[in-house]
Amino acid sequence: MKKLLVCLLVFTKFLLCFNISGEVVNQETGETIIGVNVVIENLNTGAATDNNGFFIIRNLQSGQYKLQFSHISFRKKVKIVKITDQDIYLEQIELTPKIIENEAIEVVGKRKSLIDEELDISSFEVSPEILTNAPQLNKDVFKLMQYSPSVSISDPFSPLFHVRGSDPGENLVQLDGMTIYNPQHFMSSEAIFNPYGIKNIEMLIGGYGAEHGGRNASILNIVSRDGNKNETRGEFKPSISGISGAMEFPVNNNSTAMLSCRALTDIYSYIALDIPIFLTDLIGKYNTKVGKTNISLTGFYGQDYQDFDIEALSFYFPELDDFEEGFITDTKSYAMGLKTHSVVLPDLLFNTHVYYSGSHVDNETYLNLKETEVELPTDLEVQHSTSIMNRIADWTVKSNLTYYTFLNQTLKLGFELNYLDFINQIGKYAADKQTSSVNLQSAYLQDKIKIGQLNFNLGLRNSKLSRDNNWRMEPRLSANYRLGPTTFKAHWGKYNQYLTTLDKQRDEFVETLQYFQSLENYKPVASEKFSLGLEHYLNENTSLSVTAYYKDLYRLYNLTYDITGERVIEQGCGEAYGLETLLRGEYKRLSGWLAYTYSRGFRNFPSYNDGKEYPYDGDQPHNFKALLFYKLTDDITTSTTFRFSSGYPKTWETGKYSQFSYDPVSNSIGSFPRDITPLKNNVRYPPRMSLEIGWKKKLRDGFGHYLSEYLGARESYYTVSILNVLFLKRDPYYYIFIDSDYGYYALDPYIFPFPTVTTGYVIKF
Amino acid sequence: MNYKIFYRLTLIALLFVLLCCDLPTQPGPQPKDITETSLEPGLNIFGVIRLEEQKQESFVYIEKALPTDEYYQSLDDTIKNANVEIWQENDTSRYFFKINPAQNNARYTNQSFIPVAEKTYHVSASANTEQGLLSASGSTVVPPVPDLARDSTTITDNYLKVNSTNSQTINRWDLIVYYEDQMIAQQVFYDQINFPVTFNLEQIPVRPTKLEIIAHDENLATYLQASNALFPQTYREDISTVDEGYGCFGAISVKNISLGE
Repeated sequence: MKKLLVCLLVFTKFLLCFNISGEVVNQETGETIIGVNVVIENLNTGAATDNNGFFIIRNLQSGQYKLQFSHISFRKKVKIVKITDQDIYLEQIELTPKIIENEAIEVVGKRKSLIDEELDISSFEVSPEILTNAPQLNKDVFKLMQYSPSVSISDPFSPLFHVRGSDPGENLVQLDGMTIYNPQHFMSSEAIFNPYGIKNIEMLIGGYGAEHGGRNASILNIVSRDGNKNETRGEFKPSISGISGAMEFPVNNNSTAMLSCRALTDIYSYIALDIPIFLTDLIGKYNTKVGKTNISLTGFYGQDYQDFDIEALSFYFPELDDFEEGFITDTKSYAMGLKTHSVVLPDLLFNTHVYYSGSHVDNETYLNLKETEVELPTDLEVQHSTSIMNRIADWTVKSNLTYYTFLNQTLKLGFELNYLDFINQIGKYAADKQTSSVNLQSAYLQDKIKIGQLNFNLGLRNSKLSRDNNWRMEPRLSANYRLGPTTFKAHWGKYNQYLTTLDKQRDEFVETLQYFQSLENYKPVASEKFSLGLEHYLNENTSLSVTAYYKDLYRLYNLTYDITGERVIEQGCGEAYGLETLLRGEYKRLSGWLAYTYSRGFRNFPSYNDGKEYPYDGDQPHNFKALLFYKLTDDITTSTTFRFSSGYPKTWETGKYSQFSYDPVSNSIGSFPRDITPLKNNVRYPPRMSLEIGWKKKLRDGFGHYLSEYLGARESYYTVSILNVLFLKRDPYYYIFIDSDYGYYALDPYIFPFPTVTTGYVIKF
Repeated sequence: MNYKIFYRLTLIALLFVLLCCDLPTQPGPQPKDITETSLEPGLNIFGVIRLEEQKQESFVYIEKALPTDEYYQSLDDTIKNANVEIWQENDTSRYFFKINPAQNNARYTNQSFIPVAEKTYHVSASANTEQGLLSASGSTVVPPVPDLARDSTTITDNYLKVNSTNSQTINRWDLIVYYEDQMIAQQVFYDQINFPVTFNLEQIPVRPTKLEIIAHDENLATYLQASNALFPQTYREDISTVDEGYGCFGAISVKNISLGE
């Protein structure tokens, strides 16, 4: 009876409690603001705004409360709210941007606060402001993410990256919730997104909740800007390699829009070598509000084209005239989606998203050579060509309902339907096209519970392919516990992935992700993750985090093609483990982070190394990274990026033999050297290293300033970046054998071994 | 001009350059951490049994596999002192192949060797080299002589339609249409059989004289189709179709059909 009475009392207490929720926006632009801390003064409670600028503070009794809104880039705001007998919804709390002077560059995304409900043990959130203050990063999201402790980069020509021992195809990159299947420009690490169009960057690495799925390693969420409700603003950056620009503007009282575009080429290659290179990307967003519903329409298009023929170099190197070697690449990525975010009740949110996303990849690589006048026993002859074509089209509908219950719970119930269409053509002789399509169905339930200083996130994701009779469960559990300045975090979860990508490292110049619906008759790629960590605030603005993880990659596929060009799918497994440390924060005018990671990753596939374990392609045990800013004056910011890592594994040949070609008509033979490689990844390249510095100055006089004034711009900047400082750049791509006295010669993708200086001029209007 | 600043800057620049030892474009640094695997020495052979009317042009070409540095150092890795023999399965007769001293290459032939279609043949080669006694061995099934399917080949002024007979031991067909001074060719693979093959004859204004069909066995078809590496230090599976050593031992059968009036 007593127990019943206590329960009744508790229940009655919650019935008499109310919530304050609302949306926080930028007063100048009308954009929603992510990561605003909303704290009730004198009460040890608060909340942070989510990706939609929404916050909710729960279980408040009737009375008057003083809410304090704070964000590093905005002036603090205090609002007094009176609760009588119902929940309160604060529509559009406006914060005014502040001019940050005499302060460090904000790098953390959010500073220490009362609010610490983040349950992904290793989410890595950074402010896009970093991109504008470190010119050596070339305003590139991927280059920035390389400085995350969990990310290791592929070979220097590749834009692909590894996260905690997984393969590049296990990373999901989303723009406003839409999957972008090939989010990089080729032969560089450059992302396909114009940074001006980006509002927020967040990478989920460790134990993301059940609401996220589809990939096993990481989810990179890029949120684009909403537009500006008051005036037209933008940025224009002319350069010798092309133009990039963006503008945001009001459409009407309730609607805003943003357009950003880049069109780049390599002038030198085009003029001097007649090699066309074109890179373009475009983001457009229209945002409107109807009642309590935000509606956004986002479109994205990116394309790379290059036609490289080594004959173009024969003017400079006549000996290349006999070679017929080169590659043609044409890749396109595009997406279009409609998203709604509705506040149905102050404690009930409803989100829907419908989008279409696709990717086209057409790669041809060839090397044809016949040299008869050689001092060799046979003619030198090789005919190598690969033609890889990949199309993926993804029609997705997803929706979720979030309910903030009176029991300090956040329930999220959602589903996702993907219709995926594939066309593939691979192989030396351009084998027949293979087409397939599949429905992927997913549903999830997630429950975030807060009990005092303890937060739980329990979730269950169920998914299946349409042809599969079984729903496959992905249970996930995260928890954190706050003890003074220290937060302890833990995660366990299972993850499934129904897509796999082609391994074509050995045959293709241009590395893109090429998706194959290979798993319709297979079980999904699967892993189980464990992680344990802590984050300790050394002071208000500096934190130290340590995370240990273990990943059991118990089902992997090696998708490749055999010597006859036929597609081969082989099942294997692997494991990865590591320890990541990250010190980040601010001290006076200095800010940034230092990271050290020890990590290992291994694979087992029957066709490699007699089925024995070998280090996977991205295995680089030691990684030290630094990204530091120093605000020299109010107008000048300097930045330093340093990276040192172990070399990556490669396959070293034990010898060579002639691979013969044969003409049955003339009964003659030719030959070309072929490597003998009994073991995969039997060698580790030397450590990789780079040191780069940047300088950004706000112009207050001089030609640049007057030009921007003449053009009606608000601000102008001059940037300088120095790459390969102190000749420290080390990143061998391949070793070629010169002769027995000279030995192996390291090929580096950087043409100039000297420090290179680039300057830029940016105007903002 | 303030020379003091100039001198200081020059000194700093010099120090900068002096510090920059071991530039990335210099050789190395070579990988140190290598899982030791040594080259398994062996002969690298390329042998083709040719079944062709009135010609005995079967041969075995022999080289050896070498460590990378030796491979580039040696312009000639052919083996000219090998013992090469070919024999038909379940037959005691041995055919010894020899090099022609006049030709000074590593092509071993035997004019008296006449293969039989659809029979299995074995090859064995061994030679004393600086690396010791090296050997290679393999076997192949000679494909049947390809023929045209009955009433299936038509020739007009515009096109030639060819339908060849099929066989499980044929993995690739080369079809070659000869003119007086040129030829056109097409290939058909066993896994993508698209007979009948049609030749467009409009591109050459004269009438063809001969059709040649060359049938390849599985070993040769697979080996010749294997792509080579574009990049160093990437894993390559062994494409050898021999049991011991490296290389390929295969067979072809040749059929010539006159297309004259």
